[in-house]
Amino acid sequence: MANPVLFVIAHPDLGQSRANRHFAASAKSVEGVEVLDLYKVYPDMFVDGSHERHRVDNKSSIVLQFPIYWYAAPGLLKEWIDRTFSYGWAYGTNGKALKGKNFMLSVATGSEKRAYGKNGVHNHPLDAFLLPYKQTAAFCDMNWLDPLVYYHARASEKEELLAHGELLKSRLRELVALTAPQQREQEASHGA
Amino acid sequence: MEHSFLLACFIFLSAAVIVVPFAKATGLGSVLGYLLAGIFIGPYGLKLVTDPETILHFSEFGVVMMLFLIGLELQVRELWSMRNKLFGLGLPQVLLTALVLGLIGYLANMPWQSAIIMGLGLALSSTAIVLKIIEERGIMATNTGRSAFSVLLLQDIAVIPILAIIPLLALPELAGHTPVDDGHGPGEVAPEGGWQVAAKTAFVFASMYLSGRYLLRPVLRFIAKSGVREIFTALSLLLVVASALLMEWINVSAALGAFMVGVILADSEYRHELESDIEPFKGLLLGLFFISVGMSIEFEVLMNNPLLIASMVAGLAIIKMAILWGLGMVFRFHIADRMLFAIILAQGGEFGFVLFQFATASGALLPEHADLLNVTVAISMVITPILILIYDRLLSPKMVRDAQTEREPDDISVRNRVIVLGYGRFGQIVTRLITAQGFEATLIDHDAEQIELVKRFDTKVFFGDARRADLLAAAGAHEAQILIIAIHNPNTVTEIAAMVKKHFPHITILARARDRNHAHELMDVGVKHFVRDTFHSGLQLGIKALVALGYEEHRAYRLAKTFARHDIKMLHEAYEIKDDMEAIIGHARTAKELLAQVMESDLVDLDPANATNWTSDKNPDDIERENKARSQE
Repeated sequence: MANPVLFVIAHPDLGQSRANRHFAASAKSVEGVEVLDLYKVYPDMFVDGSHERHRVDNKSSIVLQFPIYWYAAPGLLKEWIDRTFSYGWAYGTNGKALKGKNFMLSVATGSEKRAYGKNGVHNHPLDAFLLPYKQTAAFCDMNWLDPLVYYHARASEKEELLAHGELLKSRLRELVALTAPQQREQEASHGA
Repeated sequence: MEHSFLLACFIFLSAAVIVVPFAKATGLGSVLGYLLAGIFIGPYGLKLVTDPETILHFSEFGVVMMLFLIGLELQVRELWSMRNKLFGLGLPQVLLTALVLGLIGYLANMPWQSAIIMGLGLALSSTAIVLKIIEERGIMATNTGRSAFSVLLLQDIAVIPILAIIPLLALPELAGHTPVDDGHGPGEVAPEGGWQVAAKTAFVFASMYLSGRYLLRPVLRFIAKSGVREIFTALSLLLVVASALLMEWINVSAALGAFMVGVILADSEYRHELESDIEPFKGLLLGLFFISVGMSIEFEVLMNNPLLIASMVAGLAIIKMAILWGLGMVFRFHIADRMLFAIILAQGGEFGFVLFQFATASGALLPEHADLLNVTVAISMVITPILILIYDRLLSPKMVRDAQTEREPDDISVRNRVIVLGYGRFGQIVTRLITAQGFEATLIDHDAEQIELVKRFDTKVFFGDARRADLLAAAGAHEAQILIIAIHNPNTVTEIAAMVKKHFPHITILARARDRNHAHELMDVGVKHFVRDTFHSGLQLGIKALVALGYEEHRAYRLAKTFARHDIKMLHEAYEIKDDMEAIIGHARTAKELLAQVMESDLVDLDPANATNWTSDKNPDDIERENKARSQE
């Protein structure tokens, strides 16, 4: 089984985004990672749910990369989840397709870290805004992994950006390595 | 000779032209108008025409044509969906009515053979009158219309076995005596033996079926390709005449022959064109038929037996109505529907004339009985429109309130809700999208070769000139919900749109526009839904071009959408000022500038880089750093 990790990048103007573009490129360089550029594949925002379910079926880890817009992901990523995580597949009777998969967010924010907090303009820590995704993972029996956050994306120094890209790559490699033995096991048990 | 022909034409046409519109305007209906016109000019009126028999024979061809048209309308599928009414309503109607009327005849000292014939002959209603009334009231798609039609159809079918048993009912005292017929109609008894007749009949039906199935189609296609309109009309008429002749040769009713040819052609792609070609002939001949029925009322027989005939007409109408009313109750028709259903079918019909004539010729009916019956049938045909008038004026207004709340929904499955004109490259895409949703569309194209081509892919397209209102009516425009005009030629599209707006104002028109000017023309004739045929495909290729130039897919798509919105807005704005040349030029200039602005503002709206507030807590240093970062990109 090729590419155990699905890396979903959701940015409506990837060309304009220094951070997200870099992280997408970083992810692409890791062996075993399939990168799905949502706004490229679905420029009309019309997600093919069954096609996406097939795509996810093969994976053992899902990583979502996106900028925080208005305390959430860009619209198309929500649409992708709505269309893909369907009843009877992701949840409900026999909806076990996502069970046991690793689920990780990798987000970039415009604001600095201090803006997310009691005294910052956003009043809440970033984790509070990621709660829906955490609960989605719990509801579908996925393993929630600590999110990677890149604050103040536009204003950061080049070194910071490169360092964060390396961090993302190492996390992705871990996921590939983590899932590979499991798969071998699964495939072996299938064979038996 | 020529003069007498022209004179006869003049008399008939002026009678119709003078009396019918008058009858229609005063609410009497066109059928009654024709009948009255016939009485006026007939032997008991102004004596302008003295030999109604000849005219009646000639105009009976109108009934033949009508049955051809009914056959064309009846696909096996539709016939099948009517089976409950056909056998539940039609068969009991014929059998019960024949039984009751026959019994009365027998009790009135008629020979039992003649009584059977009388019962059967009077059980048949007038297809001509009833269908004309149904058509005039526009109730073909309603429960009443469909039910009445089912009964008529079964009666028409019943004529065959009835004609077959009449010779077996010959009266002993008349046996061996075969009156010489005038050579018209089925009264001509063939001198051959039984097996010869059977062989002839089998041969005719087999060859009719085979040629209808395999020979007619290529011939129709060939003629259609030639593009000479009147030759197609000639061929349509020829078809009806030929089938009628064939049937007469084997002593079967010509109307039935035409009906069968119609059914054979019902699933042909030339159906609607045939229909609209025959329609005007049918209308005129039917009118002539009604006139001659009016003329042929033997007032002498009436005068000699006024009471007997009056009671026969009343008895006929009342018994038929009672039986129809009862059947309507079994089928749970609403009271208003039930009453109309009973009234509309409560008369004798033209097949009655034919049966009685044939029975007399076969020696199964005394001529004096036939005379009485013929007058009864003719008068009952005059009575029907009058009863309808009474129903409309006096009875139905009282039931309207109930009818509105309880009325059964119209049977919309009868016709397709979608009509597509032009099944070329454009029409095909539209149609495939719609039919994939389970809608059935009636497709019409005028290119015989294209029709042949798509037929290979199991798609049925009807041949026809969509500019004709009668063709669209035949294709079901009165019942259709939407009409898609996907024809290439913009002038044709506009012409059709204007015509449809006028004749079928209820239909939603969706039109293919060529360009902006054509779109304005369509707006002029009141078309609200149109798409310029190259607009969206051009945009799609534009998107691909931007992507090829390095734009991201989603951005290219969004830009195209923005452009499309702007362009459509400009199209509507330009329409407002389209007669003012200077304003147009000014508008074109500002439109160009506006487009640039619109495209830019879209960029600003969605470019997160402009949302500087996200990037900082109003820290000027941050903003500066950010701008620096952007300029590096």
